[in-house]
Amino acid sequence: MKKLLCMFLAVALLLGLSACKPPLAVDDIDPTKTQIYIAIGDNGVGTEFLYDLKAAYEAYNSEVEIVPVQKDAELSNGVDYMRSATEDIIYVNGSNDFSQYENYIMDLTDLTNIKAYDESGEYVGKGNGVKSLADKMKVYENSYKMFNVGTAEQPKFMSLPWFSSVFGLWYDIDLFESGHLYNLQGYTGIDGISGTEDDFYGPDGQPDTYDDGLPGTWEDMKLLLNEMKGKGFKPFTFSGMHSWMRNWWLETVILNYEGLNDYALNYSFDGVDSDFGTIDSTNGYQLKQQEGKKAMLLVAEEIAKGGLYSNGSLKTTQTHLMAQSEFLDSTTTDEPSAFLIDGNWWEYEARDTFERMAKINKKFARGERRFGYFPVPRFIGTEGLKDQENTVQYVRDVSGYLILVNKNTKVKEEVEDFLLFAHSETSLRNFTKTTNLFCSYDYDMSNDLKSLTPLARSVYELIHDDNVEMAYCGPEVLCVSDGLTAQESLLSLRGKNNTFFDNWEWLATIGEGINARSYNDPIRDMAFDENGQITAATWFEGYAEACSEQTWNTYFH
Amino acid sequence: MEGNDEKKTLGERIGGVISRPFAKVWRAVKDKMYDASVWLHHKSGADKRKKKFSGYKKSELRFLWAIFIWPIVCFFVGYVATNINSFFLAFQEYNVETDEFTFIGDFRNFTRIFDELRIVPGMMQMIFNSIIYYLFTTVICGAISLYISFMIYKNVPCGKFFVVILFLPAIVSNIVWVLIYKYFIEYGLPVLVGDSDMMSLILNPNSSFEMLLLFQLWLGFGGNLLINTGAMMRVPRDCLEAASLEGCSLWREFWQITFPVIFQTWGVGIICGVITLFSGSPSTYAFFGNDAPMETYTFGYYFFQIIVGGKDTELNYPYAAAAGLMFTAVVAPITFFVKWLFGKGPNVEV
Repeated sequence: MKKLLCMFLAVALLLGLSACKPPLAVDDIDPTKTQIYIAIGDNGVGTEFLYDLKAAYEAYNSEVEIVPVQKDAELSNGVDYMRSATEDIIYVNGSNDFSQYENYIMDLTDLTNIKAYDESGEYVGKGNGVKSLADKMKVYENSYKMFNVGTAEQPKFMSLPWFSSVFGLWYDIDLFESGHLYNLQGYTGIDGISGTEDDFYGPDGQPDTYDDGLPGTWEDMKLLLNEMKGKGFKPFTFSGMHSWMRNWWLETVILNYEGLNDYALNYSFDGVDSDFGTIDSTNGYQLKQQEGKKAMLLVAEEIAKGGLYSNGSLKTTQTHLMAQSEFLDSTTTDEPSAFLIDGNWWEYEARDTFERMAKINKKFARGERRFGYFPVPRFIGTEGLKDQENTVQYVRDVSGYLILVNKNTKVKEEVEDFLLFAHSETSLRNFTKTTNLFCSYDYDMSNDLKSLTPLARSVYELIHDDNVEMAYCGPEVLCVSDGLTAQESLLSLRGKNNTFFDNWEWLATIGEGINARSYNDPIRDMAFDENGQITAATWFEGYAEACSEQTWNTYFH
Repeated sequence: MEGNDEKKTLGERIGGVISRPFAKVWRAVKDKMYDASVWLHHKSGADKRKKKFSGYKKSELRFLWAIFIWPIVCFFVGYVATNINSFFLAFQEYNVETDEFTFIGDFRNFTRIFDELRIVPGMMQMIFNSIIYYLFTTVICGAISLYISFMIYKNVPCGKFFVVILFLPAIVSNIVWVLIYKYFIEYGLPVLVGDSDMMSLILNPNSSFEMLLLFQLWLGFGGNLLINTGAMMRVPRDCLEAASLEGCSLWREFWQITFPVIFQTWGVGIICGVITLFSGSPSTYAFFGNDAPMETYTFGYYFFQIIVGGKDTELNYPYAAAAGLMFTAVVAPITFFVKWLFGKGPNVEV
């Protein structure tokens, strides 16, 4: 009996090993060469691009050997890894706040100013070119500001952008075609009148663009969702474990309704709102009543109350990877899913699922299935809501993918040479061809689009569309708009009072007296509301309860 | 002798008379100094023979130092130095522009927590959750744990099996249990109740905190199992036999014999549990990571978040330090009071 129990106990203890991964081997090094060690985590990007870059650089500079060191949980704390990093270069997902790490991270300002590229953006050696890395970055102005931790007059860079990631709603193009979900009868387009030319031009109201055939307004979108529901679809799939993913997409709805200036006021509390006038530290509470938040709540209510989400979407066991699998697998079920909330890295991250499905049918392989970015429709003619004035489609970029250099590196010259090489025209194109992700540098992919997956091509088309602007947002606190750098965002009212502004976009108090409760996750809370008490209207009223003028004045004065 | 005296000159006789009292005084002083030196010598232990340790004793001492030096260093660094630093940090403020902590010399960090508890919606819920969690783990989990310990002590059928099962959560990683629990609640339970459309009780705002408490209950069964059963073993067998002969019921045996014996041992767990009032959370981070819904917040989770979790920034360090001091000011007297209370209880020597 004792032996049995001991064996049972031993087996139970072995369960813990399920969380372990085998040690990752560092490549054998060549002692005759100078090594540059590069640490890279698992950010859905893989390491294939890095090995390709290694081969290319070693062919360019035979005296240097690139040694990729794959990390996993070690890089989960982002930039904090730099405290103990032994590698020279680190690719990491982190925050653009380096105030604690200046003793560990090399200042790259001088590197960004070296003229190392020719007119076509190819690397020609330090000081031999006409363009610098900063010139390449400035093409994406807001990204440049995001990574600038100095001032506009005296820029300072402690990191370089690694890749740019579009976060939002992705739709299954194949499903839309097979389900006849384009150009639905009843669409009105942005003029709000059915039967006119712009009915099927999408939110931008322009023909021959990426959003043709998609709903132009929220009313059109409701028609689409009803159509999907009628066909037995479960339109939305998202991670239940990560509430921030569905909430980030809802923020994009606010952003598109309000426009970047008014949206960014929720971070800076220093500017002029189109409805409330001057906003500063004395009256920032008014932003809780922005119409964009009402629009966002209408979207959340439609999804939650209508049950327009897949089975796993509101379960804590559903990770982002499982959501991707559920979305992809759903095409073989009776309840296909049309939309996935994720960043555009998701297609590379889900490659195992694509491989598995390709064994069922080759048309399910990655690169065969077609996905596109689903733009946020405009709110025009929506009852109870002022018509949206912003006409630009803002696409949210998650700007936390960084390249850092260890301040204690002993191979500074080689590291600089490598980084400049890694951001040449060819290297950037190769990165995109491998990962199907884009970088916030000036480089031309127009001749390489056929090598990209349909999703990547749609992203390319998206970010180069005249009506689309990228909005760069860091983790929670930062949002860069015109004139505001990342460092300045840290000094903002929101940056300095992050606990007060926790859940600022969501927090509402609903109910009265002792029944009053606080809520901060619109889709979830409305979906679980059995009494019908939590609606878009009550939530919007609850904003004022959660942060009234009195509350604001008590806290800040 | 008189003859000797007659031989001394007059000067010598006069000198002797004068110097005699000084000599006495000097002798007295010397005696006193000698006594003092003897006393000092005795006190310093120099009079004792220096102990010469044997080789075995020396190696034993070296071994003990090797074992304990690191915990002692960790204690001083992780507890003493940290708390001293927290004390000073509570009166500082982080200047974002200069990236430095500056001394402010007022209590605004302390008042901030009261302001936020009063003003920020959902924060009051944190107080209730913390109290509920503490009472739940202390009263309910403690009582159930005691009951199970007693049953196992009384050798119920399959008792040893239950010991292993109930102690497993303390051995296997918490993350594993969280995963098992999540899958059971979200996939297993709908099958059991026959409702495939059943929504997740863990994500439901009306039941998420209760689900975490239920998980804690499961984990807490084996919490003090070994300590309690070990303490119960101290009850004299002859006492139990006599009670059995006189027809003592199980409940009476527990309440009047076993419980008094283990009371002080059990009380140690209760006293130590007081600190969880402000630092505990029902595995919230293991369930939700940085994305826990507000209705599951406790003080322990919230302050972890603002220091280490997703909302960490140096701006919060002085705030958290001040909150820690305030919590200590509340918990310390409660702990002493609880200790005093338990001191009044039965303390049976067997």
